[in-house]
Amino acid sequence: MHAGALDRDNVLRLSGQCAVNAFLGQSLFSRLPLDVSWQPKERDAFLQSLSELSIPWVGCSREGDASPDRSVAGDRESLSATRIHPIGIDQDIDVEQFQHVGAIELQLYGRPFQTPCRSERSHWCSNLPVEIFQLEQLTKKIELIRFLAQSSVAVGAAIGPLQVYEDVRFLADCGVDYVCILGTVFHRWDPAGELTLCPPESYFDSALKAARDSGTSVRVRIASDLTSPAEMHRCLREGVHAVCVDAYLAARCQSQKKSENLGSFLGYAAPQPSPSSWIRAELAQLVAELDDWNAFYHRG
Amino acid sequence: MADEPLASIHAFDLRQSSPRAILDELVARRMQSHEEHAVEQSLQFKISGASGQDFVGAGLRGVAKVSVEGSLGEFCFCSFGEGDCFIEGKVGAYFGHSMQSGILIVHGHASHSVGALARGGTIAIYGNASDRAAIGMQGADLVIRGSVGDFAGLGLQSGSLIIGGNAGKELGKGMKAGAIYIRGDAESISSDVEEQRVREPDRLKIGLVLLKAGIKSAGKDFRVYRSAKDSD
Repeated sequence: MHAGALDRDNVLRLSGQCAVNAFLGQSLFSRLPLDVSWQPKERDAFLQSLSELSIPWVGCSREGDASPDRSVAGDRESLSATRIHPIGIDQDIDVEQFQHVGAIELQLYGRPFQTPCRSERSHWCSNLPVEIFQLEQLTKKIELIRFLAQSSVAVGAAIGPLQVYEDVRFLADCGVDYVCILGTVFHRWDPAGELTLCPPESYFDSALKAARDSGTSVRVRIASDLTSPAEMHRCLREGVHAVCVDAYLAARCQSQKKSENLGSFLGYAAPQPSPSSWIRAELAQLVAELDDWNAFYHRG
Repeated sequence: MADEPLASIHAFDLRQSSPRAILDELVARRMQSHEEHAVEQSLQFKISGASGQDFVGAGLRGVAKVSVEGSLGEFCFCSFGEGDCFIEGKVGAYFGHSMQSGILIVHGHASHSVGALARGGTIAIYGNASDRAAIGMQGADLVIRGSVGDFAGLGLQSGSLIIGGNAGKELGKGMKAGAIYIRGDAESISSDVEEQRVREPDRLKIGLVLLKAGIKSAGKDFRVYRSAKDSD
């Protein structure tokens, strides 16, 4: 069939596929906008930095909220395009929230309807959406999300780090584009707020093996305690599709605070770098270092 | 002269077009209205030839009236809002999932999980509904004129479930808030809910919801169950 014979459905499908591929081309992401409480201004500045470097982030954009879509002038489209819209296990599907998102990610963990957990860690145990009782129903729900999003976004799922092989296999069969393993999460925006649920070596190989064994094109993303570009690049080289930048930033957050408190009396009078400026600088450096690693490995 | 409201009826035959075409048409109409600066206040969709297709009407917002002839599959009219919809047939699982506003009226039976996670609006099923009706519902009103299966009102967060007939096992299990009104008997009632005295606001609520659902009834003989932990 030649190009001129493409009907409208095919054009929509192909343009949608391009958008999905563009999103899936990104090798970094952040969950901090979703997992951490932010001051509106700080959140906007952080999202602006992520957007400038085309780093996708998981988070909501709500009416009346300090949403970047409304409070940051100018870059509304580009900011939205990097947003990954989360759908919790007890959350309804609001089609209006699907506008201008890069991906939609089912958050398959936690207890529904703010039911208290026995411990902080148990909140991150994998769980099905409240209304789903069989995997066929989850498959159908994923199909529905694609239907509502007009096939132009990637659909993924975030899960806890236990029984990773089985979960990745099941989710691959359900038709997700990617699975994100939550090995390390943050409940506060600094290293002390880090919660490592499992070391990466305990789920890393299982996740990649499950993806390979599934016979599908499902990709694996990991949120773990990687703090150096070299570690991140190693993961990407070994087959992980994208890695989370949160632990990297949290580690630098501490060093920024240390450098601000050197004890000099003149230090108080010196201009302090704004959080947004150092975050952007750190992220830009990370991107540059990953590019450098890429160039090194692809030279041969 | 100012733009006058335009009335338009769009017909879809699901034997010839896909459920996707309905949503595409809505998007196209919105874009056209935006370009022409026209105010379209009475957009109507007439859907025929339905025979169990999934996702019909999913994502529809702002269509004044939708009528469907035939039976629907799963996840139909998910995330529906701002309009009235009438279905002459039965509906599959997860009908009205995540509904936001408006009215959905079904002149037949419903499969399981009708009204799951619905946030607003009114759903009326003139026949019976299967298991887990109103599961995790978060503010909508669901009326079942006939009977419901097991686990009706499972994890209900807010809103009301009105059952004209009988209920199956574990009515109201895991219910956090909202109310279940039932006229018939339940096979078993969860310990998470308790029967309360029907007060005047309850009678008003039942009457109003039934009226919206197009059911003529004085709303008498209902009993009300609320969460045992609910202070109200």
